[in-house]
Amino acid sequence: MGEVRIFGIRHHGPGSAIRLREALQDWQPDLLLIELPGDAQDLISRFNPEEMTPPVAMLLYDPGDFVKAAYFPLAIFSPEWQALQYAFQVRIPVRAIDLPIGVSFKNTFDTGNRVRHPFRLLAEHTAFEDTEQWWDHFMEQQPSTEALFDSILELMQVLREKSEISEENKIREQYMSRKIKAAAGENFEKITVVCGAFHGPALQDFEKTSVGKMPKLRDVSTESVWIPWSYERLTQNHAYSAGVHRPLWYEHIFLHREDSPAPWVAHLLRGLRGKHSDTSSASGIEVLRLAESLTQLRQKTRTGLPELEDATTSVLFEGRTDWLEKHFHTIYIGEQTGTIEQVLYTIPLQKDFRARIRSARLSAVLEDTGEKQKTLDLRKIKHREHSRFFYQCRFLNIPLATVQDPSLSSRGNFKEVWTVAWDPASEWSLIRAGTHGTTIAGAAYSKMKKSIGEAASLEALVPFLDQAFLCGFSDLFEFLQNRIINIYSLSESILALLQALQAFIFVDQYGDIRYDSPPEVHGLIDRMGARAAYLLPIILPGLTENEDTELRSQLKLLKYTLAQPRFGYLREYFSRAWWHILTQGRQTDYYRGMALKLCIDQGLISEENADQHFTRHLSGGDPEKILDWLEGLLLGEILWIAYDQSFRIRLNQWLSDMQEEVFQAALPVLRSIFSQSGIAERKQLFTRLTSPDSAEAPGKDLTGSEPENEELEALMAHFFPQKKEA
Amino acid sequence: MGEGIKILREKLEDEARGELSRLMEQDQKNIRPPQWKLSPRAVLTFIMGGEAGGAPVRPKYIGDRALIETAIATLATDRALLLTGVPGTAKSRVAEHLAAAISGETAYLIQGSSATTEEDLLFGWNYASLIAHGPSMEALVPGPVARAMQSGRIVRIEELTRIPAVIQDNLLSVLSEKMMVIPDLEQEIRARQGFNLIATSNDRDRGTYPLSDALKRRFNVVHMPLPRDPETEVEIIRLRLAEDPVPATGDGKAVCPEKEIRRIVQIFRELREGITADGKQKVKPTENVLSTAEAISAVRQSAYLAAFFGNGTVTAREIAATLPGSIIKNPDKDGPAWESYRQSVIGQRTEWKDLAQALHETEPLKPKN
Repeated sequence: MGEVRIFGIRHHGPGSAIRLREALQDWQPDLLLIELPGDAQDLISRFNPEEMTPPVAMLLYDPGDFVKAAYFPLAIFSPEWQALQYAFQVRIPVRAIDLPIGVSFKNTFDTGNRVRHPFRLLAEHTAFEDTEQWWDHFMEQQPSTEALFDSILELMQVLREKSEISEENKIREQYMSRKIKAAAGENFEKITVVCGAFHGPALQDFEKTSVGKMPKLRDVSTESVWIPWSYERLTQNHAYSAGVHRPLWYEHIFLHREDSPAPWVAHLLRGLRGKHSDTSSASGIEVLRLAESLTQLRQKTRTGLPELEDATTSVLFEGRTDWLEKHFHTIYIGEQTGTIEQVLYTIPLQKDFRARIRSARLSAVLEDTGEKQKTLDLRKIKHREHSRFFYQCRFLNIPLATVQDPSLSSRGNFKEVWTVAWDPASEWSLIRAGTHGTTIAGAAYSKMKKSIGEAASLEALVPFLDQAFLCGFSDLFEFLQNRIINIYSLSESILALLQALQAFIFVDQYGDIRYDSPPEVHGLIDRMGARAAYLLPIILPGLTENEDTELRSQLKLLKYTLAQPRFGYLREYFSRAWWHILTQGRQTDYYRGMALKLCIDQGLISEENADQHFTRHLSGGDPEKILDWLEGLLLGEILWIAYDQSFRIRLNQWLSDMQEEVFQAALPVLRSIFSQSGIAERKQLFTRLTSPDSAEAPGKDLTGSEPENEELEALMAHFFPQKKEA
Repeated sequence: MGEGIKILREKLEDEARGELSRLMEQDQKNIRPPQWKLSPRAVLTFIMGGEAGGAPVRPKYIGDRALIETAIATLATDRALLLTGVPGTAKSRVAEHLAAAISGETAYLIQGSSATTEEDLLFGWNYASLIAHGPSMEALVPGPVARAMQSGRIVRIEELTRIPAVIQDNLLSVLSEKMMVIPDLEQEIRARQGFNLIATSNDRDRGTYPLSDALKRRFNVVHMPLPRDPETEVEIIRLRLAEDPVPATGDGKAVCPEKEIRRIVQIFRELREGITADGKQKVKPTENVLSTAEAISAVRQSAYLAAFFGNGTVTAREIAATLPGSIIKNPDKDGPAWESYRQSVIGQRTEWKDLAQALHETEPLKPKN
């Protein structure tokens, strides 16, 4: 029977990693048993450190239910990584002996007051802020590695006696013990067990721990894959990592333990130099000297984080500690991400994703977590493809790129600006998207097709119009068109109709930027326009508040679109609708105001008639309603006031007759109505009204009598406070 | 003349002789930087308190230990130390105690002000000798810095930023080259081992001269904060009162019950932070910083009042007589702040009824500013 040695480790503890590596080299075991879930065995058997650079993570998931997934991140300073690397180098077998994660997916165990991070517990108990400091102070005093691991076992024994062992831990420890026992019965001489220190004492006694009936545990079969990880992600808490707050510091400890803190100060200065201009190498030396002096004063064996931080505060930052917060990310976390060789990507979509990123010349985003800008010129065929790729990713919920400020890269423009960034942990989204297809385009296509097929109403279909168009799926777009043709005439939803109409008009206008032969949508626009115009007067009385807001913005949009000469025929349809609205109801509201303005614009009513409307709506009644009406009437086109004399006179009359309190109350709304127009327009209006003599003004008679003009001036000053102050 | 009358304030190294010698005795084996009377560790014990030679060592500073460690470690590396902070955060006190513990000598001191000249900072001349014999080492009158350099001791400069910038920069060669050139003699004074400089500066004062970057680079800076929590502040005040008790009738000592110290601390902190201790009510803060030092003197003053005019125990009456004077420094700004605090906070607290009442009674006595 082989000899079994337990090495209790601290997950992601650099000191622990160094000592473990030494211990393995000293003892030279011929079998490595490691506390990793049994269903990671596949990954472990094929592990080759040459194929990846840490930080990386094992991802185990239930292919039938993506909600169930677990990550096991490994950094260069993780003892597990060191153990795996050692086993690879000396070519000894490795076995993952912990309970398969598939079991935890199926069962919920009572985790009780689980002692998850025993060393952190101990560190906190002895008032050490950083667990690694504690480790340094207590564990590194042990002269020999063997003694160190023995004392860890003793320490944990005491800790275990004082704490309750949860049901979960009991089951896992029993499971692991059975695996150890089985291995001990095989033909191995030196068996080493690498496990979280807390389990140490139980596994040391594996003969005893393995006895007893195991509950029958059902499990699901999982799939597993290596994925790149980042230090940023490592700072977050996971089932297995204790949230390493300062991964770069841990990396430094692991790589430079025997050296002085000099490399760290060099790193610190490099990090600060970007943001803090006057940090010279000389001040670096001063930091180092003060830190060493502090180390002596504090009677520590090694210069640690507190000494370095205190020294930096004093030498570089005038005794102020706020630099820590400001530079924390640069100095302690960084943007490093791990890498994985292509061959390890088991899911075709992962490979396609990278191929497309490379073809977009964006490989840099895979190397760190920083953001990159990408400007696309959609007139170029290649760029058009990149844009479609980004939209396809977006549709697949792959968080790769977001299109910047649409006004900068508007959909009608050929320029498109994207912010591209890749968080390695999003690899998971690729794996999920992989269920839809083997390429990004294919997956997006089949996912969209399926969703369109499931959508039953016009409302549900409309959002896909944009998506299909932007993703470049012209046949899906056609498919959508056909579905919409079949159901639009049954739809009572004016909003969905208007949205669809907008989408089609957009495609009609800009289709040729993104397509060599854009989809033909004219007929549909015609028919849907007619339908919407027919519905508009009918649905107005029964609007809910939400619909009302949405409809207002849709109509405003439509008004601008229809102002273009090419949509003359659509304008016709809507003119009839507005005429209906204007003549149908007598109430004073937004839609009546809008209808009036549109009818005036189209020359549908005479000046006298218009004047009657002005008088009727402005005389008396609820000021709130009048304001609403005014908003619809002006629609952000306030310059009109300067040209329509009769309206101006009525408006002026209404405002001057207002009681002061009413005016005060109405002022905010008035202001917001006016501020819908740009500042230039407001200034223009102001000059036109206040200096009618200027060459631009149409004529003196426009403003009426002098006293009126003065009043107007006073009123206008309310709307143009900046002018007043100037 | 004056024989037999006690000196108002003894030199610190004499006053603390007992503690220092006990520490020194215990410290024999420890490594000391050249010329230091104590090891850095023992200096730390002297300031933060602890135990030496079987007897306790009083803590002189209550607060973040790491700050004092940084200060001591700085002096051990022969870099100069600059203590900054708002007034009343024990900068000068720490500087003095550091000098006493390290050099055993607190005599080398420059009190910086806008009147500080180059002669004060470096050296002057004995003009009689200068005229009679011409420039010579004998005619030279070295200032505190030069004398500390020659004897390898620590020199303190209080309120460094009150010294005009042009004069400040004379320290550059002292700090980087550890020497002072005397051009008239074509000689220089070179610092001996053990020499170092501790400067203090206020960062809240107006009319000061900020340090040039060149000078700043030669200092390690320790920023002294206001006490973190009321408990610390109460502890500081209690300690200071015990250090130098206020005598009362007979052999007795005036007492300030902890309850009253707490109350003063709470008032000071609430006015300082602009919010009540329970975080429920905003308070108009005073312009005056209301440091711990001022809280200490308010407590002491109350104790004196209790000793001379009361029964030896501080009550709301004494506090009411002291508070307005110690809080209102600038009547235009602090006056209204105090008035609103008195009405909206003190007046509203049922458990502070005694104080509100006492304040009301003493109001006519309020000093006219």
